[in-house]
Amino acid sequence: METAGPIFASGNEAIAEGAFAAGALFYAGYPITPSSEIAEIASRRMPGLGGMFVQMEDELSSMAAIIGASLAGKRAFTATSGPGFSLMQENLGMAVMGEIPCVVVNVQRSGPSTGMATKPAQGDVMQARWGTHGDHGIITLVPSSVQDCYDLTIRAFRLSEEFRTPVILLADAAIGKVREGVRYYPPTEEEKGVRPLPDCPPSDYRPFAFGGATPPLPPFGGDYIYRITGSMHDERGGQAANPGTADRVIRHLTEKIEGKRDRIVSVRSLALEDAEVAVCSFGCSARSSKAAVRSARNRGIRAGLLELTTLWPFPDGEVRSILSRVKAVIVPELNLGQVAREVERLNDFSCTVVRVNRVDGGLLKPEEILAAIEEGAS
Amino acid sequence: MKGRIELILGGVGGQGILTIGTILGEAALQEGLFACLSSSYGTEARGTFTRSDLILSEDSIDFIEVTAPNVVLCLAQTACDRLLPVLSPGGEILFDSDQVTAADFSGISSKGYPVTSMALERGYPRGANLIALGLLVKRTGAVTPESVLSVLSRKIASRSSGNKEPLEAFTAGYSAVL
Repeated sequence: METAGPIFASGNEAIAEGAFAAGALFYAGYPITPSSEIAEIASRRMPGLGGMFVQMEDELSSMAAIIGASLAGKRAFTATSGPGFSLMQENLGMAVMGEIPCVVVNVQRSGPSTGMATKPAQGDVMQARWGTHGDHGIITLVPSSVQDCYDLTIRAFRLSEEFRTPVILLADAAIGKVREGVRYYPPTEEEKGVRPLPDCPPSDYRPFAFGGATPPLPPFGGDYIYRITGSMHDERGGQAANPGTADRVIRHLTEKIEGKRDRIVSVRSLALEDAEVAVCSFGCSARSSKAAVRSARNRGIRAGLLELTTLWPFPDGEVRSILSRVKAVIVPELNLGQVAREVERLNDFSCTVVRVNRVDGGLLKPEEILAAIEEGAS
Repeated sequence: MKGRIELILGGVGGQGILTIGTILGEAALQEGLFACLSSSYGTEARGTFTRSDLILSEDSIDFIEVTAPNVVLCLAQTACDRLLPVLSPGGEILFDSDQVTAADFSGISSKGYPVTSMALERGYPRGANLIALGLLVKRTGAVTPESVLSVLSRKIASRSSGNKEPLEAFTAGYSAVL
C-alpha cells in the first residue's frame, strides 16, 4: 500500500503494512492483546499479496512455522506480546542457531506472566536480549512513533536477511495502539535488502561458514541440500559436538552481530550538542522524554535527548559519548532499570545516572522526567 | 485551527468513542495538522469506561497523552465521574445530559446536550457519537465541519449501504450549538 499524504493509522497497522512493504509473504501467529491487529490485518491482506496467513495453536508453533517458511525462501514474521514472547524463546534460539532470518514483533504489555493485557510496559528489554538460552548476538529495534513502526519493520526484515538472524521489533502497547499520521511508501531495493543465494556448486555449499560475509541461504527444496539443526554443527550443518567447533560457532553467532554494530546501531539526538543533562530513553518513554527536554530548554536548562531506536546491540559508543560529557544522564523507562543498568555499565566517567521508572501500567509523565532533569542540572 | 487543542473523549465501550476520535484525527490530517489519538480501555469489550485522548496541533506531538484538556466529552455517567477530576483550569465539560445526570459542575464550565434523545428522535440511536462529534467540532473549532463531512463521506462510500445518516447526525449535532 502506498499513500499520497499521511494517513491516520495505529502503530500495529503500520507494523503490518511495513512487513508487507518489506516483502513478507508469510505470517504465523496466535493473536494476543495488544498486538492482535497485526494478526488480523495479516489475515486479511496476506492472501491478496500471494502470501499465507496461518493462525497457529500457540506461540511455540508460530515461531516454528515462520522458521520453516523462511527456510522455504519467504520473508516471514509473527507478532505477539509478553506471554507469547516467552513461549517463543525456545524456537527463537533455533532461529539463532540455524541462522534463519525472521522478524518477531513483541508489542510489550505489563507483566510478568499475563500481567495487565491492555497496559503498556517496557519490561522485555532483557528478555529480548537473553530470553533464549546460550550466548548469541541478537538485533532489537524499538519504534517510538507510528512512522517508526513502518520504517523499522522494513529495516528489521533487511537486517534479518543481511545477518541471517531473527530480529526483534520491540514495540509497546502505547505505540502499537496510538494513532498518528504515517506515510506508507514502497521501500527501495536497498531498503528491502536481498537474501544472497549461493553461486558455488551445490557440493561446495557450506551453509554455516564461519567468519567473513554472511553465507548465502538457498531455499529448501532446490539443488542445495543442507541440514539445519539446533545442535552444535560444523560448517556444512553436520552434528559436531566438539570443543573447537562449539567455540567457533558460539563466537561466530555473537561476533557476526556485535562486530557489525556500525551497520546496525541507530540512535536519534535532540539538542545534545551543548547539553549538560542528557535523557536516554526509547519507545513510548522517548515521547515523554522529548516533551520533558523541550520543557527543560524552555526553562533555560541545557537538556538533550539520546533516543535508542536500536536496543541490541546496545549503542555502547553513543551512550559512552554522552556519559563522557554531561553532568547527568536520566534514564526513563517503563521497567525498574533494565536500560539504566546498561548505561551504568558504560559509566567510566563518574557521571550521575538517574533512573526514572514506572511499572503501574501508566506512561511516564513529562513532568516526572523534567523533575529528574532539574535535579541532574543542579 | 491555530496552535494546539487537547481533547478527552469519555464514554463506555461500544458507544463509538474511538470512532469519533479517529474521524477527528483524519479530518485534522486532511487540514495539514498533526494528530495523535491514544486510548485506554479495559479487557472487557463493551459497557465499561473507555477514554480516548486526542491532541491536534500545528506542531509535531511529543507526549501522546492529554495533560491539559481544553474540552472533556462525557457520554456516560461513569466517564463524567472519572474525568471531572482531570479537567484542567479553563477546560470545559461537554456532556450528554440524558446519560450524565448526577454531577457537581459548580465552578466548572460545562454544557449538556440531550445527545441520546436527539439520536433516538432521528431514529438513529447508534449515531449518538456522531451527534456528539458535531457538538465537539462546533464548540472547539478544532477542525472545519467540511473536513469532517469529507472524512465521513469517504467512510460511507467504502460501505455497501451508503446511507447518509452519519452525515446528517453530525450536522444535527453541529447545528445544535448556537
